[in-house]
Amino acid sequence: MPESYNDIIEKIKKGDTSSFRIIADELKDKAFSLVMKILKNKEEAEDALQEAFMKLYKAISENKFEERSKLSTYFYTIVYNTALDNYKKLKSHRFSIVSIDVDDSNFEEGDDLLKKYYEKDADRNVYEERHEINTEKKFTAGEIKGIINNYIGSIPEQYSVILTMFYINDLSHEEISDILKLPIGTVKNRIFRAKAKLKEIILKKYSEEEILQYV
Amino acid sequence: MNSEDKNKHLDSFLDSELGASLQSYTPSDFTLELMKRVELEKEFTKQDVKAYRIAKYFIGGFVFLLSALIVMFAVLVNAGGEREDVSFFNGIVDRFSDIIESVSFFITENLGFAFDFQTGIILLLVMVFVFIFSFADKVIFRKGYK
Repeated sequence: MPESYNDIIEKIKKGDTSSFRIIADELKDKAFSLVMKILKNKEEAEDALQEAFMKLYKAISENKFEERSKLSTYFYTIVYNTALDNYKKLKSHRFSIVSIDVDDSNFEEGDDLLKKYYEKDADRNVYEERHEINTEKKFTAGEIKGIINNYIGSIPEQYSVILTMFYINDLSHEEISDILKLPIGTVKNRIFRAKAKLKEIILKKYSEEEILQYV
Repeated sequence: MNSEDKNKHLDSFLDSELGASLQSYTPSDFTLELMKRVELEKEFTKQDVKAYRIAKYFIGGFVFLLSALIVMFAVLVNAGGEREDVSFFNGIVDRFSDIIESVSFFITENLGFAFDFQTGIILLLVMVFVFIFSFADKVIFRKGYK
């Protein structure tokens, strides 16, 4: 039977650092997905995640982590804040950083969710026409993955961060709302909108029957 | 399959595909590097605790020595007039008395209140205790390790 987080935390408090590996192995990829949505650079995301893990280790070993709260939620809060701090630092030091707007204060809910997606899509169509690529519609797993990846890469961070928290970090609407300090309705609305738009894009290319056949 | 079922299937398909697309993976040596940092942090904390313990004993010893000196000094001051064999200390006490006397004259002339030897001792003690308290407050009480 796998050890519970409480047992692992007790061991770490007693000085058994190797137990921290269990937590790291379990949470690293999920947390990395979140950091990548904010920093969009592997090296910087890796550094930020290491920093977040060190903060978690110190919080546990110095008894700052209250065992009443859920460890994963506590950790994702650290991860999000660390990534955001690093993003702000990088933004102030480099002009070349890809302009993203994680800070919600400048974000308008009515922003066109698909603007970047259609820009990318248009670029691809021009390329395909020029190179006479066979554009015959054929439903393949790779193709649908491509569409979704393209979509995820094009939506604003205000959507991709929430989607990652929901689908990868397994956080509830309430937990996401607490971490991002957003009303719960906004969180639900963004998840719904992002999914609805994706559905719309896919259904423009394939019929429901085609997709369900694949499923 | 009715349209509601179709919709459900499509939704669950999109959920799983979205999950897969959002996932990123850390490099293979990530945990190894992290554990090195954790071990290093543990070692630093150990060293800090050791250094802190030494500092605590040092501060404690210093405070004790200072307090002992003040008490000894006060005893000698009181006994100074009666004993002849403590001439060395008497010399220091006399000098200290002279300084206080001149400061006292200065204060009396300019500020209008008297300043004698006892006031000097009290002031000195107050200063020492303020120093001890602020030092202990900074170093011991606020930065305690578990």
